[in-house]
Amino acid sequence: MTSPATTTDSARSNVTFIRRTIVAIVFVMLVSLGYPLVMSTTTVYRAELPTQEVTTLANNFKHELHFRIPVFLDIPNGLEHFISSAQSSVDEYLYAKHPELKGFWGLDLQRLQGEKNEEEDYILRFDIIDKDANEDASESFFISPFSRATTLGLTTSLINANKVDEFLRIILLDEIFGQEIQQLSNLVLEAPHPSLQTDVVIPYSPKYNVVFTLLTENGKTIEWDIEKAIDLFQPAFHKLQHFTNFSINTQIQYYSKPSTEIAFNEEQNSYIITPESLSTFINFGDWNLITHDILPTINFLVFFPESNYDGIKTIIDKSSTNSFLVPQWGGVKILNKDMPILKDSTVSIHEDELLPIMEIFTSQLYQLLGAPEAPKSPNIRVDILSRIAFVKNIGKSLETLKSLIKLTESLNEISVPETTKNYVNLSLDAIKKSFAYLNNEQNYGLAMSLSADALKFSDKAFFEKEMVQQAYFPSEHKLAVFLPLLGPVGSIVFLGFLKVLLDRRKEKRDAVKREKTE
Amino acid sequence: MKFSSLIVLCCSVISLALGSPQVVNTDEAETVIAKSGHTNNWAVLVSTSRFWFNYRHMANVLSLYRTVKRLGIPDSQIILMLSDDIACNPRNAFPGTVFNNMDQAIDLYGDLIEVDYRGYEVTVENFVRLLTDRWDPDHPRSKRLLTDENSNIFIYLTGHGGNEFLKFQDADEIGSYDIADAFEQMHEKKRYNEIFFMIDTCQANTMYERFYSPNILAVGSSQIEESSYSHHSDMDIGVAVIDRFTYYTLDFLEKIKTNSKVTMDKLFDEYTFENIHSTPGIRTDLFNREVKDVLLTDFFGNVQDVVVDEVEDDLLYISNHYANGTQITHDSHKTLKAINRVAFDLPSTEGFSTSKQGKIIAGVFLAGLILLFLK
Repeated sequence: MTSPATTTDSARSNVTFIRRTIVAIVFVMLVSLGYPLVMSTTTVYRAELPTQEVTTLANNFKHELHFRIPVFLDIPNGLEHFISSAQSSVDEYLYAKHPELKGFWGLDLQRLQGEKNEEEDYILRFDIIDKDANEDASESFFISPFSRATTLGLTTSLINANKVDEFLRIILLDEIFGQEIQQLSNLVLEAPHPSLQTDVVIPYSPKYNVVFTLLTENGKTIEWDIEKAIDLFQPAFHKLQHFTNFSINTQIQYYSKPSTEIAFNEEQNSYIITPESLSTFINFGDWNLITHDILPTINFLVFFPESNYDGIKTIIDKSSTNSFLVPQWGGVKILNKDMPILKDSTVSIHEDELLPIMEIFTSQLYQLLGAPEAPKSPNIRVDILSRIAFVKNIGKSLETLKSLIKLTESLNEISVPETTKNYVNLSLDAIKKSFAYLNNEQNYGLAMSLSADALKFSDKAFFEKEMVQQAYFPSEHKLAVFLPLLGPVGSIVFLGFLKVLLDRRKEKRDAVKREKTE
Repeated sequence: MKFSSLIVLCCSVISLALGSPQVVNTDEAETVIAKSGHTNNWAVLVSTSRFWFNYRHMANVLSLYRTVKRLGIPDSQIILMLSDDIACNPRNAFPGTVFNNMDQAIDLYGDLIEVDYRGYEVTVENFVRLLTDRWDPDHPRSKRLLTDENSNIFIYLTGHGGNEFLKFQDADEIGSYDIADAFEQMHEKKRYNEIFFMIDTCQANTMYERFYSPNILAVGSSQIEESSYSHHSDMDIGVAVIDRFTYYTLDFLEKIKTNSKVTMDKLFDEYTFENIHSTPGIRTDLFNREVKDVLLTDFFGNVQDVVVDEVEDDLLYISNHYANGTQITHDSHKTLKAINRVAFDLPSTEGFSTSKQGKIIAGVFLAGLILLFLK
């Protein structure tokens, strides 16, 4: 009688053993596999950004930049001592007026030796005016608009009074580098910039898309010699190559009416565009001006009014050039034909007519890029523009990196992919390289292009596509998502575990009972 | 048409009679303008609903599109997101049109409209990407919000919302925290000067309560636990054509001209319980200026100041010539010294990032495990 009982007992204990092992295995697997799996699939990847480096650099970069602009003085032998006295006079005056620029910006006066190209280097020449020959002669200076050379005309009385270095200082600090000193000082002091000036300036980009558009109000055929006119523009663009690059497009748009009708003025026998209506002159809705280009666009419009066909002029009130500038956008010129248009002939705008227009557009381009207004020489202007843009770009890219780090710290859910980290490092790398080119070589062109790279990389780091924090989930939503996933597995494991526990308890109770009965 | 012209008439009569309470003098206006400090205006207009019964949401957003365009914001600076399934809907008795009033005076779809995100492109992801400007490098400029620190942005959302969320086309929803964080990211990157946030949904006011970035002015159509109601139905079209909140906003804005000096508080005065049938909310604590100093055209218009006659002579000539007067020809400039550029090893943006790789491996592993158990 006892043997079947023992077999069922041993079979049962065998089953319980297997069941317990299964429960244990499932448990172990859940903990050792499931948990890491859930964690690894749900945690947001956050690359480690070089926080410390960015913060220190952002706070101190102005102390690490040292502009020492070389200026070559063409002076005769035996007067070398003049250079050191002029240098100290320049330094003394500059740092007394702008103590914030000390160590940051300065001029390095050197003697002109060997071959120096006045297209590339700042050269100062002296011209002694013979007072006896010309009674009315006085000191004079001439900053060449074609190059970087300046000629100072000195009178003998000035030399005798030992005032040459003072004269030199005024020319250098006020006339040649005056605007640069002013702007850099504002930058270093972080003074609020005069708003009107900067509002015109288009945000910096290493490359712009320049579009020349000819707009006519009707459908009559019109031609313009724009290719030849653009060739004239090329050297001007080339001079800006350290600063930025341009891609050029042209188009002719027919049937383009301005958004407000132009009123006819009988007194002047012409159509007059009032200054108030200028701000709504451009018909953004109808004129096909959107280029769908990746680069920011600078627009230059030549508007050819229909009144030309009647021999009537269209004039912008109070504008001598019949043109206006739209801040951060481009320039507009209203073109009136000098000659009456013959009936049924194709209108063509000749290169000679386009030349003054291109002259206006050049001036507007310089304004849009934020070039200083003085001195006249485009070479010096672009230099100043590049140096200021360099400081601005560095400041801006560091600011972007700082914001990025601040954001990643404050938004815990946002992912920080490896590419962001790489771009941050590239940006820092470019910044450091640009510092080296500036401080060691005074190579403004390379420093400028590197700073543009730094800006580009910092923007890429900030605007990394994967860094989109998209869905904030309240905890009840999370529960709603995870319950159907984990619920079935969880409940089976839980019930199995419960069964094992209950079995065990029952077994113990049975054992106690059996003991009692025995 | 009749109704709105009547209002205009009434208003002009009143303004003639009372010396126009809405007009400020020039000096005041100048100080007001000086305070805003923006140079360009942008508008983001979003209708998050689909399907015929949500006709009114599309009408809402197209009405505001028409208004901001009329007031001078160029199409390139308006981002319009809508499902665009109403005008050509088979149920539309007037194909190719959308009206916001039963008088059917203005066809909102008739004028040139440029939709930037259409149909299934109206998603939470695209909306957040738009605000934070995180796109593929080849994303077109016309579909991006290219604002800077001088930009004033008007953001209008309409659709079906609830407590702290707004539904996007029955597929996903955006939470109030998401918008707040997106605005913070815009603020950090200096992507706006001021934001005017307007939302017309049920429980709309809950959407702006999480904002924490400065210079945001927010209005909503209804408070928590409240619905936002439609204004009226068009029996020929067969559905409601506009919501109350938007109707009264538009009704007011119709009277505004490009050079108007009317201030924001006058618009807010229109938002009464009698008009809207729900409790409109206005949040000004983040905003730096007094509402009574804010011009409507600071957000709805685009007054562009132009510079006349500051042209300098001869710049092109001196760029084109050497000092001795010879011209720099098109070819000779190429021989001038070209600058060297420093090259960088760019990280490839393609390929997987580590986190992605990990996830894929884990996914494959999981699938394998499941297969194993199925056998």
